[in-house]
Amino acid sequence: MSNNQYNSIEPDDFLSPAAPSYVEATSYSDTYDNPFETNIPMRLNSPSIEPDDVPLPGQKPLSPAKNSLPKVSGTIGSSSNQGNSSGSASGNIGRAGVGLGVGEAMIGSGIDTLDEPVSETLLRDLRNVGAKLQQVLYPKGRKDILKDWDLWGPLLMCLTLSIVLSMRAPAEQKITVFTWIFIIVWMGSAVVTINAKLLGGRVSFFQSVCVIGYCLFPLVLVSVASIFVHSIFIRLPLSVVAFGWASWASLGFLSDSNLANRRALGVYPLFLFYFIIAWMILIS
Amino acid sequence: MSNKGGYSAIEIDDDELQFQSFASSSNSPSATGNISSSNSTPQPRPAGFGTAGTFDPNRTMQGQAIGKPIWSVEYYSKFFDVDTSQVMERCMASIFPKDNFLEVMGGSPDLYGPFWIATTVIFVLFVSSSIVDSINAFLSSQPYAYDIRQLTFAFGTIYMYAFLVPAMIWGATKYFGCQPDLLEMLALYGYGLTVWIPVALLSILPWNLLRWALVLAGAAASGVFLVRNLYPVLSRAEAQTSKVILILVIGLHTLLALILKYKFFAYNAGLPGTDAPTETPAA
Repeated sequence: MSNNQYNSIEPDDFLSPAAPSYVEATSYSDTYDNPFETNIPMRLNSPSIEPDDVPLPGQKPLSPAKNSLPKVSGTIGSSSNQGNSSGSASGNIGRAGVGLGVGEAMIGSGIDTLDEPVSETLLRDLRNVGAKLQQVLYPKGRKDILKDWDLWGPLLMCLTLSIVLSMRAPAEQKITVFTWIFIIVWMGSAVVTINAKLLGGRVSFFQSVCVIGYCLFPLVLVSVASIFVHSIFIRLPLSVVAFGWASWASLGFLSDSNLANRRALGVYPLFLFYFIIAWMILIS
Repeated sequence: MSNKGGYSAIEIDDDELQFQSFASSSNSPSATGNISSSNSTPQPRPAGFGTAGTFDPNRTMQGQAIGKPIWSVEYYSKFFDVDTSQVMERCMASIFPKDNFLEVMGGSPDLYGPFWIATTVIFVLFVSSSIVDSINAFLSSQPYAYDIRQLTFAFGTIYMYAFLVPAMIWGATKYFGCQPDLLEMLALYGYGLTVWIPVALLSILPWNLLRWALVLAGAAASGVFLVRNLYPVLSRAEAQTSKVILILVIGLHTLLALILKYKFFAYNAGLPGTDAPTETPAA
């Protein structure tokens, strides 16, 4: 029965054309019907699935026909979602309901988001990124908005920073500077996270990378500002403020009670990370 | 095994290493510390190397890390089993080499110190050299452009010195039968780099003589630290080979000091009032 097919699909499976879902889809009819229009009531009665019309943090309430699991179904057939799916698949699945596995998340997803305009698809992610940035800037309100991580925000921050700083670099060093910033941001986030894990802290890897990346936002702002401002007397306080802000914001999210006597050991690499980025902005 | 709580004398003997005693011994940190120390070192630890760590109650984490696959993060957490105070203590002991460092480490070398001290040294070198370049440019009224290649150079040199050189020395001493411990080598070289942080920061001051004095003092301090703690290992080889390896260690250390001096601490001349460096920086 098709129910069981969908129940057993692993996340990787339906990215490949050989996945059972493809086979299932083409077996419905000869002409290209929307295979998911079939009403399969059993899925909707499953107790582990949250109703579709519960609005999620940062989202406007969805109509019952649309739901919040577009990426899961989008990756099957929609080419416009391909780019989005890689970075945020897990994050969106996690968003849909606490504790849903990926296999169950596919159930009842409906393919209605295939019909939406591309702008709507992109804007949904952009709004999510914007909501998280807001959370970084004003850390009051819901703290768990950063719990469903996505790597779009850090990528945006990293790219902006790299492009701005390499623009300001001497001509023969532009590529090196871009490379360095890229490496520092990504490897730095990874290393800081692994360091916290090795010291015994309980942090989720991608969530921590996501938080560290989002907290780069003040530094990105200062780097854009320093395109126009060259005086050291303005740049220095700005950089110091941005460094303090970024460190304080990320500390707030990553404070971990499991690091008893080692808090300084876990926090120091974070400071080093933001310091070196603030320094590169300062001297650019 | 009847290791039910309390202290038990465990001989470091292959027959006695039984994993089933873990469930009970995890409640007794001292026994855990003992078992894990004998599990984690591939060779029996020579007695002269500080057996002070055997009944350390702080080593519960080492017990939990045994049995994990080598590609998991948990396997490596036993190398990061240090507290802030321990790291600071080890750093100070490396700058002022009074005691036997292996006793200071209490028999549990860590990898946190080597990695983060090396990374800090890289960034401090870059920051201090860019400070001096910018002061130079400011004083001679030229536009300042930083040189990112210094960061690349620092990255390569320091990480090579902190990781490749200890591995090489370990390989060499192992070949000649000195029974070295790789972790201790890495910890020695890593903590030995600590002294370059204050040297780099103080070398921002513009007097060349001062910079030379600082570099020599730093090289001497960390050189003494290295040689003193490596000597027990090296002396276990034959006299001729140990002399050669010792000379190699000292030679590499001097090379590092000279590279740092000429690449990072010898800044541009042309400032009115300061003496020009006696030699041009090596390219």
